[in-house]
Amino acid sequence: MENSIKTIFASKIIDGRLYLDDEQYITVADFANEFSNVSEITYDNLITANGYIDEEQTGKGYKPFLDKCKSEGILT
Amino acid sequence: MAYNTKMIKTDVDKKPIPQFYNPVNDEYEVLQGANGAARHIIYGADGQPVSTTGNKLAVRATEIETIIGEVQAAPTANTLLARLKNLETKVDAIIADGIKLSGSKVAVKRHTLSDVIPYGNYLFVGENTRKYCITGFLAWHCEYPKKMVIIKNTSEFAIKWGWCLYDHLDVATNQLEDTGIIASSSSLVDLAAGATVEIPFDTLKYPAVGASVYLLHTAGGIEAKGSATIQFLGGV
Repeated sequence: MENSIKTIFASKIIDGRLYLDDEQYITVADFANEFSNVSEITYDNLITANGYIDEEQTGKGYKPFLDKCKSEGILT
Repeated sequence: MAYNTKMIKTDVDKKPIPQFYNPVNDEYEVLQGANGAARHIIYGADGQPVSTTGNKLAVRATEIETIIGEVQAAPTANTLLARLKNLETKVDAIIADGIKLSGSKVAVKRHTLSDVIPYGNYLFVGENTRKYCITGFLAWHCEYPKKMVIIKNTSEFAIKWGWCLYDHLDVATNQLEDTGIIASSSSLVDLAAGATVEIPFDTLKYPAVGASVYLLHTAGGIEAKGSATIQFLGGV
């Protein structure tokens, strides 16, 4: 899982940190732990695991990051 | 010819001296030495003299090579390998914490909201849990001109966070006073589950003596509480 994350999000990883935006980051290991139940790293699978409902109940809070990755072609 | 066909070496009184038989030269030769000891040649298990390389015996203990070269998950305690592994573990922990500091003199204070410890008249960290909110307070000691707050969301859902800086601390109660607010975040910002955010404060722009961090848990119900680790760092 961690190796897949490192490969897919390589452009957003610096010193083992996956940067969600300019200020916010998470370690690759923690990210893998947050989405440990995802069988394959795809946009739809990650969004489902994230659990976003609306702007007040944002689940794990990764929707903005995942949306950006999709728009940049990192996630399909 | 055999050794018993040759005459042994004698001293001035015709008495035998320390010697050895040299089959190559086919004669007895004087046994030489230094510092009170005779010269010796070390033979290996194969019956051959042990050679030297660079004035060192060309003998290598396989066991030592194995220990030096191996990688063990749990090396024997107090060995060099164990100490190196211990050091490596500590360095990994520091990297994982994401602590980035600059300057020649640094002081680090770390507080977890679930385990708050009050500090004298200068440093104070408090916890206030009410409904959806958990709040962390801190007053920095003024000797640290560089300040940073690091928040890690340790709950399984996103939290919203914001900050407020104060220039006045009531040392009698260790409370930051609301009348001393000099700056604050414009709005609450999402912090994803498991994620970390670092907030450096420009002390020249914001000469704060303290800060509070507001965390709003968004998972739902009135009893829902988030959890977060907040590190308040001060350095020069």
